[in-house]
Amino acid sequence: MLLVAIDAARHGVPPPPPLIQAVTDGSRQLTLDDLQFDSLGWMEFCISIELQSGQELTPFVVEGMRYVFQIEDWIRERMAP
Amino acid sequence: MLVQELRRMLHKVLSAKGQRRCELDFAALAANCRTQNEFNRLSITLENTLTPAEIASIDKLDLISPTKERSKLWLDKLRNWQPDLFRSPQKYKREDLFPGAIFYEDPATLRGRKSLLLAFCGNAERLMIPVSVFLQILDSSLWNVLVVRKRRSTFYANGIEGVAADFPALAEHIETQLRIHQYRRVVTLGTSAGGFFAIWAAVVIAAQRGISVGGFMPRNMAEPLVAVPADTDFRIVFGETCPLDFERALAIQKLFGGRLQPIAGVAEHNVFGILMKQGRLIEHLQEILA
Repeated sequence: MLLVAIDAARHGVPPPPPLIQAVTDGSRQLTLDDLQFDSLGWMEFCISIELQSGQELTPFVVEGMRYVFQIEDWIRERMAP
Repeated sequence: MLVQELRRMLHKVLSAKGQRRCELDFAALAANCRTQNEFNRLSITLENTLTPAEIASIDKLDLISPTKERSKLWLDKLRNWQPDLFRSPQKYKREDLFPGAIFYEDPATLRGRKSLLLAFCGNAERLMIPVSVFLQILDSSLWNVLVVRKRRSTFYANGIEGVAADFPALAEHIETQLRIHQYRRVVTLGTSAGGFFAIWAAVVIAAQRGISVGGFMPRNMAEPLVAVPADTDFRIVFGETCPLDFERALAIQKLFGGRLQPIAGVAEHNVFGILMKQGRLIEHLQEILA
């Protein structure tokens, strides 16, 4: 889900392989700054997450986070049965 | 409302021919946005499609909550970037020319007195800044503007499906359809993934000027064989302290010639976005287009 959203934030340009690997591995060190999105990119990212999960992650919510794993945790918590 | 459904509705509304009734469209569309993300999808599409006057008309609507608050945040952002968009919007009307291409014209001024700008968007389907904000900077009595977008994850090199099979054919299609010989002057401009192709288009149609802003040639693309017209002036613009874009600018210059134009005080790829936030965009844009 994260990789699809990252792709959307990059406007269809696939992320570089090391970034894909870090996301796939669930790296705890990968920061949101490492993704290098601008404000439009974050809007597209959040739209994609909502489309895939139904969870309303917004750029405002993301502003309070620092690491990519925090987004994963946020989604997981809300999707737990 | 699902975002896909919103996209379909938007396409239907925005691609309709003739005079638009933006007020009704916006209120209805925005009221259907269940979440902030759906509203963001709507606002991104509108700010990259509508004319400055259409955007300004939204500001005058009497909207109800939560659309009212969401719209205010969105429009205040645009107002902060370009206050004239609301004070005295340019008088462009828009018309779909072909899939992915919108033509903006103020019909009150004859084409022979105006310049034509062919603008090629980057992957984000805008000109580093929202198209409506970009248009507001260009005097509609002096410019007609064609904004071309490729579909996401496609390349201009492959043309546009149903319109042209490759890029030279696309440029020629534009040349014919817009009858560019009617204009006093023709300029091409492209940002990011559109920059290289703006330069190439200038070659194909022998425009007076071709401008690449943060442009680059796509990877895995063979260098086009081009005969560069002697009278075409190329400007290759990039952030002065953005090493990757400097390399890319050199590659474009090697192929087409032209003048490198580094922009001082910009380290990012998004040259126009940074200049706009610094309040320097108008002066720079007027200089590269003059």
